[in-house]
Amino acid sequence: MYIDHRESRRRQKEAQDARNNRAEIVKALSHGQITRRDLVRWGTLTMGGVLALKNGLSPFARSAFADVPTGTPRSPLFGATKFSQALHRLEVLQPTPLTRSPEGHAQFPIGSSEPSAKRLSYHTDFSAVPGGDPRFVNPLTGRGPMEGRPPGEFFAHQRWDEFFPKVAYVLSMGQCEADTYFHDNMPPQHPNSIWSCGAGRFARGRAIPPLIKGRYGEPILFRMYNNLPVDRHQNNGFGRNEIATHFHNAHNGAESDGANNAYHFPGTFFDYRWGTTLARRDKINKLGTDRRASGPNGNGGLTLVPGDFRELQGTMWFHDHRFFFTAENVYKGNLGGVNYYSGPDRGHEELDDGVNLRLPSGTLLDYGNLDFDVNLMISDAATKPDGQLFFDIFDTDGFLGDIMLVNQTFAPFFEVLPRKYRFRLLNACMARFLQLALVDARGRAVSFDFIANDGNFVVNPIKLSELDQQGTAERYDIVVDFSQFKVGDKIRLVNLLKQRNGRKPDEKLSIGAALAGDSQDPAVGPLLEFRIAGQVASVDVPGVTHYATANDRSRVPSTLTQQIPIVQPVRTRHVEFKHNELNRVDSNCVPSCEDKDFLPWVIRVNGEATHSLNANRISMLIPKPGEVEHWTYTTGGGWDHPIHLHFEEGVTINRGGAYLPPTERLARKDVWRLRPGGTVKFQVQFGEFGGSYVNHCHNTVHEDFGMLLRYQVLGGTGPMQLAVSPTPIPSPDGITFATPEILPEGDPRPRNVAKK
Amino acid sequence: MPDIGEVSWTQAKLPWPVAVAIAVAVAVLAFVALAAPPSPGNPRSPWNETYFPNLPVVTHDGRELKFYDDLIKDKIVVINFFYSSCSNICPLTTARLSQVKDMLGDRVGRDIFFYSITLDPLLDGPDTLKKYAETYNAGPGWLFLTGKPDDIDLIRHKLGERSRSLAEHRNDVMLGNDATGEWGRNSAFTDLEQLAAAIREMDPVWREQVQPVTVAAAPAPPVVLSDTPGQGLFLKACAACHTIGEGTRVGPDLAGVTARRDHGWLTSFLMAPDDMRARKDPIAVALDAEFPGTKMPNLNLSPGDVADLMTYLAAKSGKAAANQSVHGDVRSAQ
Repeated sequence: MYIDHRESRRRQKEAQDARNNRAEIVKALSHGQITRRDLVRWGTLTMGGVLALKNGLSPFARSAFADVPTGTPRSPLFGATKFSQALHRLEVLQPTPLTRSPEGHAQFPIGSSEPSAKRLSYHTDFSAVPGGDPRFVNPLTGRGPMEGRPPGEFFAHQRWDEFFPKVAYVLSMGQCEADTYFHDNMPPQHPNSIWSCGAGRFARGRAIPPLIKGRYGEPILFRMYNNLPVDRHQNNGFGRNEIATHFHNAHNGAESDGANNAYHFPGTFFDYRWGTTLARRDKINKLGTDRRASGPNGNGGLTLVPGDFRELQGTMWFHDHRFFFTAENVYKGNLGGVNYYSGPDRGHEELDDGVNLRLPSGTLLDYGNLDFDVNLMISDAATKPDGQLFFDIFDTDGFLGDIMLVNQTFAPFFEVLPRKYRFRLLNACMARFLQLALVDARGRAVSFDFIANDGNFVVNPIKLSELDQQGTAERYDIVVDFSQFKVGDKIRLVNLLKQRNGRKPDEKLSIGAALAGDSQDPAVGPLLEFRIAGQVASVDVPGVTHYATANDRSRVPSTLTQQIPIVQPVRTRHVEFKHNELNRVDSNCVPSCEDKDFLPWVIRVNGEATHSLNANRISMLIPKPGEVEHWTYTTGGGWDHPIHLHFEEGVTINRGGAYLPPTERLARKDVWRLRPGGTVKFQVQFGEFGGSYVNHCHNTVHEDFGMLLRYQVLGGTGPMQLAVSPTPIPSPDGITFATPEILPEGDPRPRNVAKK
Repeated sequence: MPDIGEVSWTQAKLPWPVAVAIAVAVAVLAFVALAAPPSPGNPRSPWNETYFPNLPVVTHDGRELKFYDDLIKDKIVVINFFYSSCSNICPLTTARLSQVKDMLGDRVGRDIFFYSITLDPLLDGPDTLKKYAETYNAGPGWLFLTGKPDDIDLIRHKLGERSRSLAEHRNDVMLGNDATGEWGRNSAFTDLEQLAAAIREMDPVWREQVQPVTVAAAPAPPVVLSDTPGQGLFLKACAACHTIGEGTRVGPDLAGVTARRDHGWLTSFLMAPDDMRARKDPIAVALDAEFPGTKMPNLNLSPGDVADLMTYLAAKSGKAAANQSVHGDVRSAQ
């Protein structure tokens, strides 16, 4: 049965072809869509295991089995129809005020049982006593410290006094509450099917993701409790009970970035300090006199902050970043929204002070009005036949769902007034790319204004009739003017992009084709319906009603910010996110071409050696803050990857020679779709904080598979930020550290070693 | 499942709508079969005997075993994919797994089992696998597996190896514990101590045991680069197969290699050993004969990497030679 090594290349190639031909059938077979007996009966597979239809197989295979993008039977809908349930708004979390204790800790209000937040982790106190100080032990397990943040100066909050937290959000990651479901018709999720955020200490998870409204000038303490089952295999088949929270993509110290291997265990909390730091504060507007660099003060005025107003951020989110388990944990519910409010982006549409842009939002609150400013998290899901959330942990291309959710609700409707609305669209899928359009009842595209890319204003609003593709974690802010419609009209948000596996999208469909639906990809088509209504209830001040007859005084100014210019860089870096290349077909070697294997998902820096994932490896060293660099990302063919740079936003320069859409031209971004075989070049600089950060593919399955590269910024003001960070190695009993290995090609400093 | 009748090859070439109709019927039937009411309490992990196929596989010592019953059931397993003619990545992965296996000691073969499944079952018979296993000091508890191509295809697909060509196969490692239904990915290219820890943690009993951590603060980190920039590369890319002055592992001991070999030859060999073999370079051919079970992989090194490595090898060789002469003196003194 075995072919001898000396067999001809042709024979080997035949064997390879047979293998390829079997792939689709095997996929169907493996997921129980068909049985081996069926195949034998159909004559597809002989009893000897040799494929009977070697050459004629593909039409049958492709038509029959490749049409379920999840690789599993269709998720049952239990009779749920689209647009039969109202959209849930993200649940706004209320902050707790903090005060400064004499020792410099951030105290919770009197009566609270929360321990004060400190510059150094409680792990430091715990480890000060051999065997562990029992006062600081994990209360749930009695093992290890109560705080998951690693001990010592490397995970101390940088610039603690300067960005002393004024408010706290205490959350838990927990099993979902009993009434968690995607639609009234669908069965409730088991507590271990969804693990999500709940407000408060050791709380259960809520069905709808939370929203935090931050503002510049009001640093935040984000305390996340891990309230997941201690027994880690109680997970309904996917999800790891060890978590780390990445705030995508705020300007925070590395100790609060959540992506440095410092995950924590059930029973522990982790204090992240979100400084609401405006980038370039050490370089531009250092005295804080520019009124545009500011946050709302709550009384109609501004709190001025140092920094560059062109670096203001708006629409962001947080999500899990536990290496190797990020995909399943985020999919399982570990995510939430964060909007940052600033002088220009106030979330108030009437206040006229020369700084406020007066974008659609509302007027009832001083800032952060959400009545006409709506976060929309779009994600795909799949369920088992019993309706419980399903994830294929073995799918390394990137798992696709076949049910489209908006804010965790199956294809909802949303009542709007005939006026302007701002929508903050987040692609919260794992591997699915989206391309969205607004379509009226007659199937015509409705135009809108594009105002922000990845939470960063574009200089001038861009009129569009459909969005560009949107990869995982990309955020697009748009303003839609519904005043052209009358009460009773319906407008739908439609996904035009067909995708059948995690590698890349297949094709964009026409509006007509997308509305008709696609038998091979149920995620194509409308996923949200806007209904023009005569009145809607306020979410900002419950009990207040807004009427269609009221004047819309919101604006979309023709200029939203100023361009950060592209300048001559101090240095350039070239990062290649490569996957194995397909066999290079060389006409000279056919048919005996050697089947070359390549390192998977390798990352090359400046053309040097390829390296696979190792969280304990620093690939690039940023020697000091404030130096402008130009980075080029490239990838091989056949796949598309949304690559995410943590900590800083880059100004998009070009895509090599390829088309750069207006929404990307000189736009500040933190996720770039590289496109198959594509290139993206951007300008970036680092500052204010130091430490270890990462950039990686935001197809979270690819990320778990090793498309991740760590970089180290030697910066910040603490003495330890001048050194290379050690890698934390967490365990339930506490954290140890490993010394990182620095790739020589990532370090731009002169070599101090003489070479032969 | 209801009988859907005999369908011959000619019928399989049905016009599209009919083929789709069959597919839909099959999908519906599968759905009906699976649509059991949700079980009360905490559901079992779906990754159980109903997920993994119980197909026959053949080990490198020629035994035929059932995949689920004999290899997965109630065991902690470490699984990777390879094929013997894979010249670049598989030898490195296998060698690094061999290092991890050593770290786990006698637990391997007792309750932890390593399986390397060939992706080229037609070419990789038991004899080929036996040689491979011996080359990498597999020992008890590590089986190299082959089988019928469609059986292997189904097994690899279930385990997430869904590549469409050999060259793009998965190189990560699956960790599983059938008793708890837990499965996860890891990498042989991460820090090996961490990989060993992740494997131990697959055991819930191990997780229950307190593993005392003694750390008061972070250790002082290196602020400057290592004096020998090739060290990191050596540890990651070379040390799985080679020692410097501690004898043959999978490949030759590299002590003194920078003096033993011509500088230009060594540079060329480190950069593209496959090309050297293809050109029938006499030293490369001789090395092949001396180490028949494996081939030096092309590690995609750059000239800068190679220079770093050679600097490191020369420096370490000097130290190794010095140590040897010390030992020699001790012996002669006795």
